[in-house]
Amino acid sequence: MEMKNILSLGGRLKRLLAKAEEDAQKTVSEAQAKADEILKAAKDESEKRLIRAQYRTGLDEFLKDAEAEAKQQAKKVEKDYAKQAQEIKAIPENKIKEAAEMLVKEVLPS
Amino acid sequence: MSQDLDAKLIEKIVEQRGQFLEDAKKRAQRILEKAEEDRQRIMEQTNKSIEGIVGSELRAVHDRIVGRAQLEGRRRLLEARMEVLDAVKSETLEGLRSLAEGKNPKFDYSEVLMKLIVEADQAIEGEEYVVSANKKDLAHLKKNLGKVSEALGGKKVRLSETPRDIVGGVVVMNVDGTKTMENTFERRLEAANSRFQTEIAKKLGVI
Repeated sequence: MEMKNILSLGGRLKRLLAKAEEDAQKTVSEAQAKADEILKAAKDESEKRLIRAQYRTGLDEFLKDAEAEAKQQAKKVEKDYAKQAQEIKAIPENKIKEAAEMLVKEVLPS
Repeated sequence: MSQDLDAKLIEKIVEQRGQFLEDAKKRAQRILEKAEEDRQRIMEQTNKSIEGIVGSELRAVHDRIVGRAQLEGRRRLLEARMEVLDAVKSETLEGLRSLAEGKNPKFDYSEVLMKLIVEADQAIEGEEYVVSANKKDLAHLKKNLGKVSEALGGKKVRLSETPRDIVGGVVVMNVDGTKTMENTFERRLEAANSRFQTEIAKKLGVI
């Protein structure tokens, strides 16, 4: 009777181990499936985004922002040049006369 | 004795079961971590590729708009410089006009005129000349024709009958008309202006 019990226990434990192995395999398989899903989703998303970029789809907003930024920069550039031009034009009259006197001397024969 | 054996066996099997499950859990975690790393790598590569495509678009937008502004700015700057240099040129011409009218006590225009004729003679190396000038200068030269000839070492000089519309100076031509030197203020001003434009601009601090 005792021997029978031991054998019966052994069988149950063996099944327990088999079940544990099965569960472990299931956990790994599920993780692998999830990983495959993650990678597939990433690849699909990547492909979509690249196609959108290549066809310039959805980039209008992005470009609009860049254009607005460039326009602001352009305004600053124009302002800087306008200031420089203004400074040049604001040369005092006496400087012009000085330069003219120098040029007169160059025009005249020595 | 049998109960001890049972307990040990159960304990060992439970431990083994726990180990199986724990290992599986770790493997699963590693798989998911690796997947996440791969996902990140794919996204980074994608972003990089998109940046390459869009980046050129952005640069084109920037270059078009900012580049145009820079070009326009440089044009305005150049215009401002030219305006100032033109003002110098106009002022110079006015100075020369004043000089030719004898209004500048620093210079003797009669002497200037003579030097201009001598300079032309040295350039042309002729024997006989026809000199033309504006109406006022022709009248002056007519009165001093002897002095002019003397300054040219006795060379024969005739005066043109047609006055030129010039501020000052002379146009000297050899008698057969093969060589002419325009030694006028206008011509000399153009030459001097070209030669000294950079120097003048520097002096004025516009470059």
